[in-house]
Amino acid sequence: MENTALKPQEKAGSLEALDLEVGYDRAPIIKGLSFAAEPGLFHTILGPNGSGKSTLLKALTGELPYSGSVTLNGENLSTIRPETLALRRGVLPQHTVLAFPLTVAEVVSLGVLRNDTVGTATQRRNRIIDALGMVDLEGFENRQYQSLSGGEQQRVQLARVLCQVWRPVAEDGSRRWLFLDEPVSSLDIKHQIQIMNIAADYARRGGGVLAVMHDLNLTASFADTVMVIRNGELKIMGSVAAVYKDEILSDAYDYDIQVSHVDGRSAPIVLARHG
Amino acid sequence: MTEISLKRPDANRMTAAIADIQPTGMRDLLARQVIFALVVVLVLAISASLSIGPIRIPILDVAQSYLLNLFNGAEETPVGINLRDWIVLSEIRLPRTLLGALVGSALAVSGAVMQGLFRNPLADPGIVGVSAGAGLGAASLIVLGGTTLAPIVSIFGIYALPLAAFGGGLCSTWLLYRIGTRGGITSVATLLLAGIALGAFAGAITGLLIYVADDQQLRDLTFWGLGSLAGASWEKVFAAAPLICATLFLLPVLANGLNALMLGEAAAGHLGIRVQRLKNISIIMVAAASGASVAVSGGIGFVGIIVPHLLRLTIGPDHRYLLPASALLGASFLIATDTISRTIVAPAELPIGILTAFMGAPFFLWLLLRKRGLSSF
Repeated sequence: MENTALKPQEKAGSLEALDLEVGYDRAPIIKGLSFAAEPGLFHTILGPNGSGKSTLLKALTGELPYSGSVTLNGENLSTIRPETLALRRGVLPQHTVLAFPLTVAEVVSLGVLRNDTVGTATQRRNRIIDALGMVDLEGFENRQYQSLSGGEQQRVQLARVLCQVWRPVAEDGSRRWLFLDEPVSSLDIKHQIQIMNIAADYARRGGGVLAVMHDLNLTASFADTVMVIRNGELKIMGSVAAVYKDEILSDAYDYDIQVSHVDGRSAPIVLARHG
Repeated sequence: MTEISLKRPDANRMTAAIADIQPTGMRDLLARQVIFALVVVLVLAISASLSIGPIRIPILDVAQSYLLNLFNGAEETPVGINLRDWIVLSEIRLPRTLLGALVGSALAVSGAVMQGLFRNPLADPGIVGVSAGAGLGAASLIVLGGTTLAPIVSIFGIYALPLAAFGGGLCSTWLLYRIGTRGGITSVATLLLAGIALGAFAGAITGLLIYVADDQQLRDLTFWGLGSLAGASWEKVFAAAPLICATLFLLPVLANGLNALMLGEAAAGHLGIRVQRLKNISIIMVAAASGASVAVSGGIGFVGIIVPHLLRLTIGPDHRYLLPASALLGASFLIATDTISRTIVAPAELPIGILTAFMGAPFFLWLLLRKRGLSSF
């Protein structure tokens, strides 16, 4: 934890990891990983199963202990109070099982758990309604969460997280972050694109977005940057154009993968060899 | 806009004001109304419990005379009140009713907190062995209080028994949590099975204690198995009150955390909740409240399951309302049940634990079947 020449520079709102090591027991799952991610961009993490993507995200959200350093807005993650951290970043889990039956409005209201973070009760109410509007669920306030489809439930959860970090740029100019753990892996194509659009919009409005992704083609369509993780190490981080190359992806997934380009479509298309 | 708000009837203004700032789908307003109704119910239950019995006491008249006497600066026995009524009221029914209120609210709140903590509506101190642990603590003190544990009795006096039960309850709750939770996920199956094992183990040690107990101790111990408010006295009220009241007053601290916990431990952490601290406080509170009630009334089961569940069906699971509502309904429920238990076979008395189990066990089974989607059976 010495101050070295490699000390992350303080940039407004950036998320930086330096020599990050994370391990559940003794064997580290993330092995000395460093990167810097700027707000205003949609960052994604790719990698095969078991590569450490989710573990990395859990460390960055403060859920898992780590060694090395993580800074958010130039502040050391481990020194930020939980209450403060909750105002700086929201986390959308892969899947949420509710312990008790809540209405949709009640689930979303958990994103503004503490009234003092919002202001008046009217503002709180409006935010809940607006958040549901953003995920295209107007009029769902009174519905039982458990009675919704998987896609609807995931959108309610996104509305809850959006409520928590409502404005991508805070009043003091610092940036808020949205962490998404495989946000669309169990959804149909329409809802996948809907959620990716909302996340991309959050980045466009100045917030930071970091998503663990599975679908290479969906990632290619939305991501500004791609990190490829393999065996707990960062293989490459760059734009889609820089990362989506046959040899890079084939090596990352240990499988024969071809990147093609179609006229009239900016994002590349990824095909895997069959048989 | 102004004209519309001027046209609103005054009586509806508060309601309308709250409705204005509530999106549909939030049950805050309903919850507040239910809590208000429960306060009224509790007052009625207390009055009924004070008046009903072998001697019928006109509680309103007594209260009126008592207040008159109070203003006139009366002496020990108030004027205008039948002396027999006064003694029955002040020495028998009032402590018993107050003890019922304390124990009922403690049991219901322990159940609600435990269900929130374990994220499961079937968790209850009685079922998962916390009460057994508290009972063991109490039994140890009764049997060994004259010998091995004599110093504890001499230091803590009347508080020794509730504290011993609190200690026993704390150990078993903590053990349960350690056994039932792995990687932040609580397995209900493990929890219930561990609860059975812990309960059996505590029961075995209690059995050993019974084996070495003398006649008087034996009588005291038997009382635990049944669960009853029959031994109510002012001393017991004062012994149980500090732990239970402290728990009840601390409840608001837990509400937001338990609400966030409905999303899971990780998600609660992301919302800024200090989950580990929340768990520790919850465990201590459950042990304190159920320990104190076990110490003064033995094992009265199922209150902690029935009461929070009925309330969740009406006002929803929001702990900001569920916890105070559980305390109120739990108190009313136990007072009412106790009034029935001491009048239904009068002049004899039915231990209240039998009554609550009689209602609670089928209710528990119904909950289980409903969860498995077998409600059509």
